[in-house]
Amino acid sequence: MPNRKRKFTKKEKQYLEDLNYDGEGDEFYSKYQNMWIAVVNKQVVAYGEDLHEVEEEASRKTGKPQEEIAVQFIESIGSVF
Amino acid sequence: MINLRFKTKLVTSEQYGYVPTKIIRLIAKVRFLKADNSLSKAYRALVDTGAHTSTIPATIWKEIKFTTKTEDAWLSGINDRPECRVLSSIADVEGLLLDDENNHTKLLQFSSFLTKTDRTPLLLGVAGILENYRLHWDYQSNIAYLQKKRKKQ
Repeated sequence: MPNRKRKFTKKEKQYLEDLNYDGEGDEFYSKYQNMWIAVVNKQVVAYGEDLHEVEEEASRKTGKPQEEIAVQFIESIGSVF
Repeated sequence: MINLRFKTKLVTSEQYGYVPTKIIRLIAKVRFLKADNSLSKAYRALVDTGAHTSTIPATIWKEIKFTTKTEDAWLSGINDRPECRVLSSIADVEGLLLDDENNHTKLLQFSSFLTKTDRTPLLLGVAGILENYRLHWDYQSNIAYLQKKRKKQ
């Protein structure tokens, strides 16, 4: 695949911003260790241990397809990997 | 060149007697090849130079193309006790790394532990990924990237 650059769409930019969002202070580590969270417009809209369920709930709440919902795993603070 | 990103958090928790713990993570973004040869959405992954092999949680690998090499492989971390192991299979997957400037690698084939649970992070390890790139890490300057090694002429 050639490494050709194109500009991101507004939707893609928003997705990347949500994917990059680390929360305020240590809120994610204090609330969601060992869980997946779904972030839309820099808000956590769903969380839980089962990623599939988190994506489904986030999609239901926001009306966005699961492909457009940014998710991240909040590892335990004791994880040294 | 693929830009990576540092996440830095100062965490104060009962777990460590409320002594502030600095957690620095190196984050990449990855998309996987799916069974229909389209690409998955981008996921954030932890770059882990200490992991000889990448790990992919269940919900993610169930949606992508993979070729199983071994079933029922146990994955362990710092503690290798049986109760601390995670049941996985080992498979070849394909994916590309990308960044916020829309740089991306070619499709890379790499071996991964496919964990049978979602209670594991998406880790990018050495096999098939870091072994093929120079990893530039300069935390003080907030610069991190992967660069393809040039072949000698």
